[in-house]
Formats: sequence, C-alpha cells, structure tokens
Amino acid sequence: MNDYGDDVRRKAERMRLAREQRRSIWRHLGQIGALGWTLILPILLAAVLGGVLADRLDRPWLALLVVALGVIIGGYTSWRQIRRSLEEE
Amino acid sequence: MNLRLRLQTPNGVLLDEPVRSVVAEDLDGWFGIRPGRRDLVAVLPPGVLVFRDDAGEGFVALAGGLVDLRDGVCRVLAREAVVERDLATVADRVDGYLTGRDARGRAQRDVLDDLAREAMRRLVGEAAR
Repeated sequence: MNDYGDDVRRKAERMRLAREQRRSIWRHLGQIGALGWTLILPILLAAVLGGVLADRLDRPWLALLVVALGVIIGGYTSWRQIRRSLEEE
Repeated sequence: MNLRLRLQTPNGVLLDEPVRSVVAEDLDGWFGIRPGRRDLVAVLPPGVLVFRDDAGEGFVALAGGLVDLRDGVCRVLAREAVVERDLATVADRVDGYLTGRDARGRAQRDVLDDLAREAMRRLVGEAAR
C-alpha cells in the first residue's frame, strides 16, 4: 500500500500551523485593545480629577497640569507594555 | 437531528459514535458536516479527517477512502485509518503504525518463504529416493 504517511504528515502540519496563526491573531487583537485602555484611562481619570481640583482650589491651570501628568503616566505605562510584549516574541 | 460517525476499515469498525461535526477533505477541498446536512458521497484522498464529539476533537489519518453521509450516519470507509486525539502526534502515530504493518508483512513473507523452501526440500528428497 502506498506511503500515505507523508501526505498525512504534510496535512497535519499545515493544519497545526493554520490553527496557531489563528490563535495568535486573536491574542494580538486583544493586546491592542488592552493597550488602548492603558493609554486612555490615566488621561480620562486625570481630566476628571484635574477638573475637580481646579474647581475646588480655584486654580484653573491645575486642570492642565493634572491632565499633562495623566498623559505622561499613560504614555509611559503603555510604552512599557509594548516593550514587554515585544520582548515576549 | 443527530450525526453519527462510523469509521470502517478491512480490519473492522474503528469508530461508531455520535459526533457534533466532521470536517473532511475531498479532491475539491475541505468541507464540513453538521447534523442535518444534506446527504453526500465523496472520495477522500490520503490525509486527515477531523471530528468533534463530547470528548473534544479527534483526528483520523486515512489512507484514502470514501465518505457516505446518509440518514444522519456518516460512514467513512478507508483501506487504512488511524484515530488520534492530538494533532501534534498524528503523523508520528501513522509512521509507527506503518512501520509495524510493514514489519508484520515482512515477517509473514519470511514464514511463507521458509515453508516453501521446506516443501521443496521434501519434494526433492522424495524424488531422489
């Protein structure tokens, strides 16, 4: 009987690769989503906090300062997240 | 509406159980079978067939064969088939099976050769007397 072992090996390998690629696509999409939140959430919180503080203490420039802090924090943590995920690959 | 997978080879029935789906490849490409699918008959080249039952996924390495879906029973007829649950080890299982099968074939031929030689010896012995 012919050597179907080679055909089976080839097809099984192709199937396995296709499944791995499919899984990694979803994982990457998830990572991108999480990254977005890492960047935006500190800025949003800083905007709210900055607004409240500026109102309470009657110093309008405080809002800008706190938001700037939020941007720095968000930027830094998302930068670290990108580096960490690149190192994993 | 149920789907049953029945895998048969000259060695006997390797599988006969209810399944949720079957994915197979014929000469025109891959197709799927779910409960309630229209009946079909297809020729399967050597390769892998995938099925899904309550225990998870299963893989059937085939030396080629036929699939006949009728009345909710998916009959797969193959000259040789190996059932395996793990995609990563299917190819190795098949190689192991083929090695064993070839070794058995050689052993059988050796036995036949010995018998033939013995028969010849006796015939010649008889004729000489």
